[in-house]
Amino acid sequence: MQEARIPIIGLYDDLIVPIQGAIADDVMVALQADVTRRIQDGNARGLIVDVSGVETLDSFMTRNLRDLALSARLMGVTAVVSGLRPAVAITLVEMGLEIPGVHTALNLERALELLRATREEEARDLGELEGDDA
Amino acid sequence: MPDPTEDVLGALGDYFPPAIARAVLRSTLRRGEVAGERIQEGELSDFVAELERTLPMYIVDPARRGECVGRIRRLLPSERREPPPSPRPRPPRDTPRAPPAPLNAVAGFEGHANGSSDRGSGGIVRIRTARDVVDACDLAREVARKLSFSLLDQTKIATAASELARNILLYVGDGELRVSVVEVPKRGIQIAAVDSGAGIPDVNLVMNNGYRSRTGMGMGLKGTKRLMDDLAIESRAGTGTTVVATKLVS
Repeated sequence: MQEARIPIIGLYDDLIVPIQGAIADDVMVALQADVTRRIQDGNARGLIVDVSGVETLDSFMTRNLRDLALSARLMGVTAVVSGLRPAVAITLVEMGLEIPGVHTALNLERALELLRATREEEARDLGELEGDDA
Repeated sequence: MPDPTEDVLGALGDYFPPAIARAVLRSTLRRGEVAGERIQEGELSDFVAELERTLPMYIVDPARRGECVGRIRRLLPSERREPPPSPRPRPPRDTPRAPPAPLNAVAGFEGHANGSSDRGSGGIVRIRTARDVVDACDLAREVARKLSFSLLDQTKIATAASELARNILLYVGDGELRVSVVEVPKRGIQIAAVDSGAGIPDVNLVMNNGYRSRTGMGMGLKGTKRLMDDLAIESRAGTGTTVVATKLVS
């Protein structure tokens, strides 16, 4: 089935992926390929997957989402899932599902702040390291 | 005597739109462990016996249900001569189970012949692609919304439907998700996932805590059970699986 692909928005050093509505599996698989390719081709440092438009996440979709975030992380990109709706979050917890190893943020704004803070922290660590060297 | 399938479909056609009539036929055959989509000559009486148990999924009103069964029964060669219908012996297949029958009362299609007029009262989604899983999920949410479930419960119900439909897709590849409204013991929603795949060899194992399937996070059915009030599984190696999940409006 040919589906519209989920757009990947480049914003400064970050990639933003807004997911709307229900995502069919094939779209999710395509997304993972697209995101990892964009990471490889560009110089992205952060990835935000915004799921504020998602009304339902079942265990399979949750796993796909986690895989997307973890594959980005393995490529050295900080991944944040943002905008999980309250009902979706509660449902996931009730089912015993978590997304371990993945940062989460209340909304897109917070996710951007989180990425910035992470980056500043990294820069500080790096600065201290260089300071030690000097 | 020729293949009675068309006669049965014709009779069911008085009660359902054609697509649903075929679904009733299919699911009844499946329950009777008959492969394929046709009733073989001489198997009509077995079919009627199975139909009596399948039909509550589709017709709520017992009187109307009885009428429908009677209509099919009249197709039996013996009945054509001798009107008083004796209760047919049930095939030996029926082991104790919690069938959809007693609980689920209201089916989606009663009353509207085109089968599409009111999605909010239920429906059937054939599950063969990932897109069908999404459709099943949407249908369940729609019915839940019409029943005035809270947003959280709507989400849980939609997630459960998605989970059940996905099980069909991942493990069998073809099946049906039926969403209906129940009235007994209270108003609620019932989601039945029906397939004729290999079956679950050990239901207890699947529902046990340590279990992890090859594709999921080991949470599928267990997780679904937590989202709903009740979840019953009927499965046998080789004959397929029926999972019925119910949630009542609180």
